[in-house]
Amino acid sequence: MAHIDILVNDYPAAIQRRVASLYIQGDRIEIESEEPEVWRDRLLRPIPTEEPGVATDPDDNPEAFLKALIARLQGSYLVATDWHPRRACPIPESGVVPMDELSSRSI
Amino acid sequence: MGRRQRMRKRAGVVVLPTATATSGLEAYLQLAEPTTRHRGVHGAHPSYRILFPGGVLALAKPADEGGDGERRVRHEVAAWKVAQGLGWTDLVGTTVLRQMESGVAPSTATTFSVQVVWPAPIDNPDLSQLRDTDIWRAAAFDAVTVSTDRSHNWLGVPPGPPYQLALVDHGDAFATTSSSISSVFFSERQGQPLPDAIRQALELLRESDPQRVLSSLLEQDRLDAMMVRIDHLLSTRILSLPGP
Repeated sequence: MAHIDILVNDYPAAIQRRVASLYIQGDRIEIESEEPEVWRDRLLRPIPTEEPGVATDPDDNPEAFLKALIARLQGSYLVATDWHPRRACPIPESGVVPMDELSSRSI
Repeated sequence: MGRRQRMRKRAGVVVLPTATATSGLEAYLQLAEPTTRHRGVHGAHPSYRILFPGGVLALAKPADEGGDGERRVRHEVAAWKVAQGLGWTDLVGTTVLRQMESGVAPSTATTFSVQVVWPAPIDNPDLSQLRDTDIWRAAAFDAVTVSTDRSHNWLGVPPGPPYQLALVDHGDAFATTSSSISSVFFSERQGQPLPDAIRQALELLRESDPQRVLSSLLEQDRLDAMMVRIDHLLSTRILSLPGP
């Protein structure tokens, strides 16, 4: 089954940490998380479209909503991955992805 | 002598005016040599973790990665400057432009926006967990900057709830058309009379000469449109935007 992962950029810890995985089952979006209700409230809010006054609702159109969520959640603190099958998930089972260390030169 | 005159006392303690203090922070972020740099693995618009000497932690966005990066990093700084002009330096993290080595083209310099990281933030808390005054400030800020992507881009700074609101990710702000706005805060307060404190902040912003301050950060048409929006808000005294 395909899903998307929601990661938090945890800057003090220098990691990206999975806080939720979202997938569609039947006609609704399901959440896997240690805090499913917290992340349901934060993530499954209607997302405004480019048409004024129109939003994509997670209950009305789960696929379109998750597509919009992937596009919107590319920020400094919250990041959504693209769709991927569970067997090819790029996030390790621990849910923790260390940030890559680079040279610190400022030039 | 000049600096001493700008100092003031609060409860008998000498403190720097906020504008002077944040200017010092800006200079530090622009010039300090990073101690370490890390890059997030996932995300279409990569964020870098920069640790500076003395323990200041910042996030950086590169101009040479992700779409339209050069414009986006300038807009990140412009948003900070608008917050500064409004006197709301607690609403947006101090942000500067600086050169650092590219993460994708070694030995090549590129421009980054560099922003102070908020301490232990709560990601994207519900509006019911934020202060009413902060919701108003965010609504006005998003109206001025025409935020096109305020669906999830905010933090709650502990303790709370209610949390102190911090707005993040302004690369796609400063649209020229009012109809481009997409902000839950603006939608929450749209059409309501502006509180006195909001009007006073908008007056402060207009008096801060934003056209000069933002001239190197925003394209002229975006800057002109922002000035029209500020005038509109102050003349109507309603949270609304000029057409179209």
